[in-house]
Amino acid sequence: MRPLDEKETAAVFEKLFKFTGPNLKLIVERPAVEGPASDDPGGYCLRLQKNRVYYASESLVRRATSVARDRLVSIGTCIGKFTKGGSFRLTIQSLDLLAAHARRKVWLKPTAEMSFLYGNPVLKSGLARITEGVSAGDGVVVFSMSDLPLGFGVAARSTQDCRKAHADAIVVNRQADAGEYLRNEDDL
Amino acid sequence: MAPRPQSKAAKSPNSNSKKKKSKKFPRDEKELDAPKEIEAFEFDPGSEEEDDRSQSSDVEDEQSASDASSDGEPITDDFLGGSDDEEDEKSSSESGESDMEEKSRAIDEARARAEEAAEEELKLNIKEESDEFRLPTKEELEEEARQPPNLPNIHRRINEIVRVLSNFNNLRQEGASRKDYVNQLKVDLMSYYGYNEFLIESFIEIFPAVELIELLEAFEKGRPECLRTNTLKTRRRDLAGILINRGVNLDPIGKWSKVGLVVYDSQVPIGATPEYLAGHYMKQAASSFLPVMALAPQEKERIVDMAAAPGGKTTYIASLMKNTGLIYANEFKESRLKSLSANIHRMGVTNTIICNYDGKELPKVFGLNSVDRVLLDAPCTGTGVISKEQSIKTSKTIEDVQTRAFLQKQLILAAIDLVDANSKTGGYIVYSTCSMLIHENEAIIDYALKKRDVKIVPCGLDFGRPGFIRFREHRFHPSLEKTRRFYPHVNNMEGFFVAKLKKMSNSKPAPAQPNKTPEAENEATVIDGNKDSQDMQNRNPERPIKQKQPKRAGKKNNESRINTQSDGKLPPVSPDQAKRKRKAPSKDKVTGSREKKRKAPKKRKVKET
Amino acid sequence: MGKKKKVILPPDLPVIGDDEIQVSDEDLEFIGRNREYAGFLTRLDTKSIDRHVTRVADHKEDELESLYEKRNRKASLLRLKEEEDKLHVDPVDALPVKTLDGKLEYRTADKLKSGDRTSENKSKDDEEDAGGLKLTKPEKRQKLKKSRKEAKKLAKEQEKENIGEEEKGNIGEGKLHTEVLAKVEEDLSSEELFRKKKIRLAEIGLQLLENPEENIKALKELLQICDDEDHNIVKLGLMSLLAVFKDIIPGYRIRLPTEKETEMTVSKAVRQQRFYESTLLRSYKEYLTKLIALEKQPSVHQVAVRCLCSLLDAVSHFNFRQSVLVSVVKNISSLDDTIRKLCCEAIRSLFLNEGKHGGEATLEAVRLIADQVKFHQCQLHPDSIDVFLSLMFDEDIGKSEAVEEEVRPKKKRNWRAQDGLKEVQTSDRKKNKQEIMTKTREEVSADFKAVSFAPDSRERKRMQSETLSAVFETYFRILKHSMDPSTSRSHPLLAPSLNGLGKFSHFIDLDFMGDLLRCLKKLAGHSNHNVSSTGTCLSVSERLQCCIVAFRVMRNNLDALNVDLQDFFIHLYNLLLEYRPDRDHGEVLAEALKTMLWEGKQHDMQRAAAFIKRLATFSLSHGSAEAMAALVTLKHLLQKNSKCRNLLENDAGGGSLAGLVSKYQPDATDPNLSGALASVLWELSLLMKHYNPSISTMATSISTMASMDPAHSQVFLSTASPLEAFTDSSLEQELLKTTGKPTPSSYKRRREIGNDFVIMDPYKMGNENVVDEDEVRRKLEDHFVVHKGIAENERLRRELNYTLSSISLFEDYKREKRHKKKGKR
Repeated sequence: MRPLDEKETAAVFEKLFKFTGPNLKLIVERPAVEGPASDDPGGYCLRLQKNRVYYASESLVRRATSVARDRLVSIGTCIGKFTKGGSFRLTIQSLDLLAAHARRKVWLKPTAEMSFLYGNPVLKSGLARITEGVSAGDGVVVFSMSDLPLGFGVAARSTQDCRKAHADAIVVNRQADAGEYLRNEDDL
Repeated sequence: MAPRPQSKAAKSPNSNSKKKKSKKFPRDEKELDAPKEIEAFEFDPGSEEEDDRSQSSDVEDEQSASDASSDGEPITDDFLGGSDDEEDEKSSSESGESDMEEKSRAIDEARARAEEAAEEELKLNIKEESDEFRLPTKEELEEEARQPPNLPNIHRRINEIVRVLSNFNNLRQEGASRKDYVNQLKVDLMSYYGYNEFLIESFIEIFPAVELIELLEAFEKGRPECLRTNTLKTRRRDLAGILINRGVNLDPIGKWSKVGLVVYDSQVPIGATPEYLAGHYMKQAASSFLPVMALAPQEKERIVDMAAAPGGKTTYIASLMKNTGLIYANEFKESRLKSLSANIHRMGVTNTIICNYDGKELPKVFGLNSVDRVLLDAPCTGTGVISKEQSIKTSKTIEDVQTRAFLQKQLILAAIDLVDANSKTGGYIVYSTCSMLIHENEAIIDYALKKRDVKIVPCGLDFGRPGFIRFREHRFHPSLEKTRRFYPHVNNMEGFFVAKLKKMSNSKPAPAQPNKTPEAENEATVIDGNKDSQDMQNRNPERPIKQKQPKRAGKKNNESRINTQSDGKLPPVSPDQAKRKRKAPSKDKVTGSREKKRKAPKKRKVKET
Repeated sequence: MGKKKKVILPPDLPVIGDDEIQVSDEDLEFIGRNREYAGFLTRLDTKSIDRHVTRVADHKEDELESLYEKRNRKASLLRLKEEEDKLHVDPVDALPVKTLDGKLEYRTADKLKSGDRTSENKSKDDEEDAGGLKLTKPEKRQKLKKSRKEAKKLAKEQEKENIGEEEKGNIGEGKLHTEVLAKVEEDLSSEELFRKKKIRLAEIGLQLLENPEENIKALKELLQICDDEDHNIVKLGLMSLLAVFKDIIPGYRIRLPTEKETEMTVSKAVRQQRFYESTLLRSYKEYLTKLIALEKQPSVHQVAVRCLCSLLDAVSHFNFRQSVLVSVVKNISSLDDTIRKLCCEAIRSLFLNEGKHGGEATLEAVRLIADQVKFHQCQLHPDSIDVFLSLMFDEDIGKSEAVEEEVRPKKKRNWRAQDGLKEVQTSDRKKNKQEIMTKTREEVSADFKAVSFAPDSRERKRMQSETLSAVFETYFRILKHSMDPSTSRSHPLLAPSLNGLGKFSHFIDLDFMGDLLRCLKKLAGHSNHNVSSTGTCLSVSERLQCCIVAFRVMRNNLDALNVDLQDFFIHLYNLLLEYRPDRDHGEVLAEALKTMLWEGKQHDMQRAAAFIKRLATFSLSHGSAEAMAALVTLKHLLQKNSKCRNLLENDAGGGSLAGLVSKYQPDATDPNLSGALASVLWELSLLMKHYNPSISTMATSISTMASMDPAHSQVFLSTASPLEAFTDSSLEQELLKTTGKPTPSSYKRRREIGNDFVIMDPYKMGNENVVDEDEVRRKLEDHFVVHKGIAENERLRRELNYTLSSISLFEDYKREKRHKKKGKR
């Protein structure tokens, strides 16, 4: 377990920024609740462990130092991993973090939930609600009508285009969905 | 609960009348249906627990306290319980056993009649001279062994034996020792339910015959599926609403849990709803709520879950701590790490460090006396979850138990060493297994009490049966009464054991011991185990000892059992008589309570049909 | 002289007669309008009368009478002349004068007077009918001068016109006469000149009006008069010209004959007509050029502008409208209120009655204004944009047209079908007949089109769309301008343009929508982020409006899909904190609550909870009206999303529900991150003790909702919108709680807020409060009276009892004595 270096941090922040925009600041600066009473909670920090990036409170990180690197499985929240190619991609575990700070949201009709949870993109027909001002390429978090975060992806078209788009046009290209917890638990 | 008194009223005449017309089946059957129906009508999930609460003296846990306050029922229960204790105890107790047995008879009656006229004929004979039911002779047995097993026969015989054992003096057949009956019963049970000898023996030791049957029956049918609401993300009311809309038929799990839901049936896969994937609930056996509730983690504490996978308990702890504090979730098996991590993330738990150590090493890793609470859900033979894992019936052997026990003793010492006795909020260890064997439960705790400066505290669970203080030749520390045992046929959950320890000081009586003592102890247990295994065959030699023991330390629980066993031997033993007189009230109390507990299975049957 | 009298009198008497009638009528008519009139009458008449009386004090009755008559007649004559210069004001200008408030009242007074006089002089000149006239300050001054002069002229003319009478009148009046003469001599020269010119003007005017065709040339002369160096004359000239033109300009647009048309010989009448038109046109052009030129000079500025405006209003169909428009629009945001009002009115009326001109004028005007705005970088008076609000677009232009379209081809098909059938047997003759019929029909229709003034709907549609685009262009320019941080100045045009956007939002094209919303977002976000960086800080109300407009726009185009205006919610969430009751308009806030939260479709749980919590805090810290609005919204939110009800329960489980935020942060800027679900609505328990009964009841009703199970939540949604609630509770001050009254009044208020919620007229609020106050006082008074009465009553009764008891005691005592006596005996 080690802190991220410059370009790793840059890569992670860049990806996060796509979803959270200015709220990224909040993600980095929000005070931590985790950690025992004895040590000050402090803030959150990013740690790299076996090419996975973890988002954990500083006190957790301090505590985790006692654990041998090869024995440490996870600490705090895993938000993504660096692929073999060295590029960073957010994984489904980061959903809660993103959902709380997302700027662009998409709400699915109940009929479309399952299809999305099986890894399909979001179609116009399944779109119940969309944040105003989404432009193509933005990161959007996908919710159900009862505000369950279901996953996230990249907007295929802007809000304006969505109005005109026909029913089976792709609105959001899926990046990760909660279904992965079932589909491929192993490479999470 | 309103109809309860009626039901009792309805039962008591039946029970009284029972002695008179115990033999006349047709009427008995009618008699029997009535109370059953009443019970069905009055059934509610909380009832069993309340029965237990009425007896359980300890109400430490704030939850149970709140429960007690939340409903006025406990009062009525206390009243009822009181009535059980003082007034017509004998009748009620006997009625308990009797209508139990009547019922069983009624059942196989029906089954038998369904078969053929010949059977009918035979049964009538049996009916007439049912009291002189004869154990099958050697020849019969051999002859029977040759043919494919005739299950109805075996089952009927089981019930007969149970009946005889329950009222040995009157019903025993001349010259037949209790041991013969027991052996026959054992053989039949093995063949009927398909257990290996070791398991049946250990169960026979733990339970009186009648209850044993119920247990085995309970193992045959599965437990209802349970969900735990993830209070980090939703509330039980909201979740229930959503799931009901999705076509799931569910209920609150009972008064003892604010987060549990029991699922009867569902049109959608419970494990694949959006809510599940969003981590709003966890599929979790009711029994595995208990250790966490016993642990009662507080916010901002340091907590170790020594065997965390698949994370059900860990996430429960985290949600009780509202993601504050720190949880070390340890799991030794790499294969189970994935699911552990996945569940923890899915449930939105952020205060957890997942690590992969052998539990025994943890004190070295985290340092001695470094955490506030430890949950040790020890790896065990799983003899409590047979209904889930039928293979256990045959797979487990005495060796397994010994190895497990050995490991468990090491683990509990490690757990105790982890905990800081001076912790302001904590200093507790909760030990739990899903096994029902004394050697994996009470024995371990007793061992820990010897080895470390810990004391048993009530685990705040206001139901379940107290742990054994004396088991056959073992004598455990009296405070073991505060531990809790949960049985499928009583609590409708997997067989389970929970003990909560408070670490009094960080000093170890014998510093070096933890490493070698376990072995020593282990031998001891082995010997015990062997003794146990032989026990059944050669009981006579020890008999006198056994009779004296009760006198020395009068304890209700196994007291009753010993009575039932000892009755048969040397009938007019004066100490026995005297003892029975002396112990009469206590015995009756126990039987009374047992009788009440025995209602649970029946109710369940009614409900499920 | 008696003869003279006879000579003069007969024509006079009837005049006087119907004079008085007329006057009395006029009186009745506008006494109501304003009472200055009375003042004026006394002022004016007494002057002259006094003079006269002083002079003829010792005359015999009949002479006095006759003098009166003469004076009257002459006065009327003079006035007639005055009229000619003063009355050239069109009714349209007159209109706003009535509505205008205090500072222009004197003007109305003059108008009325003039109206009165016109009535007097009706018999003589009809041009007065062109309208009651209106005078501006300078003219007022001038007018006063004149009224002074009148007296002198009076004297003079008496000498001149009927000397005999003078002599007769002056017998034994030497002193008076001479001094009058002395006075007169000084002015005579200039006065004479002035008078002549005026008379001249009047004559020409009369001629022209009598018979334009004949003496159309006279226009030239009039124009020349307008070159006079005396401003007054110029003004008069312009006025009279205006009147004339308004009268004689034809209802069609004149097309000058082309060369070959001129070449070709035509009948005399036609030539005459052509000549007439051309001259008219030329002189009109000259007149306009003159006006536009004069408009530069401050002295005659107003008059010129007024002329232009009235021209624009009256003859908007006629040639050279363009140039008129240009000059009017130039003044549309002048600093002089009068002028600005004039121009705005002119433009408004232009917009309102498009019937006169087929909408081209509208289009031109809008374009011009747009250029104006562009030219001045949006630093104009709000009025100049408010004008747009009176634009009228009817969506269903061309609807009917479209119907025809689809009908016509069908017919054609029928024709063709019939052709197909008959082809074989029908003879050519028949076909020809048909062709002829169709041709004639088409011709007729074409002619009809040509004749009927309204251009066909397609044309109108085009123009309308262009107008719209121009308008929106302006609005967007204003938004953009007020957005860019470089301009730290105020944004006068922002509010009106926001209104406009709100009003016309349903016309906005989807393509614009994106940009528009972006602008609004930035505007709404102004000053909580970049107030430090740049000085641009819109008022809370303005920013609230931005949000509201955004929602309006969205609502009107919600058809396609349901868009969630998250950022605007965030802004509203923060604005709730910045709101100050004294500084900002409560109505705007209530409106915002209504549009965004109350009518809003569904919100996600976190946000709703955050708003609920903040509204509760808000209602704690503000007046009853705001609190009411907030509570109504709060209740509605709670009813809509039942999940948030655990804010009402003290449920530990709720705490961790707030997602990642485990603890409520009251000052969070983003509702989604406030973690409101971690808190409980303790505010309600305080509000239940609120001094205002309605609020406390509301609070209690809300806090009881916890028990209500979500299923039945939809059953009783409260009907009152926050806006209504606000208006209601702002109307009913604490003490008097009128149940019946609020509803209608609230509707009224709501409507007027609906279309312009910017202009929160302090007058209304003010006098409202006044009303409430004295009503309160009254109530208190009689309350105390009653109290006094009761107290008095009790006191009296007490005394009465006391006296009665004492009396009875006395009785007993006497009886006792008597007994004793008896006993003694």
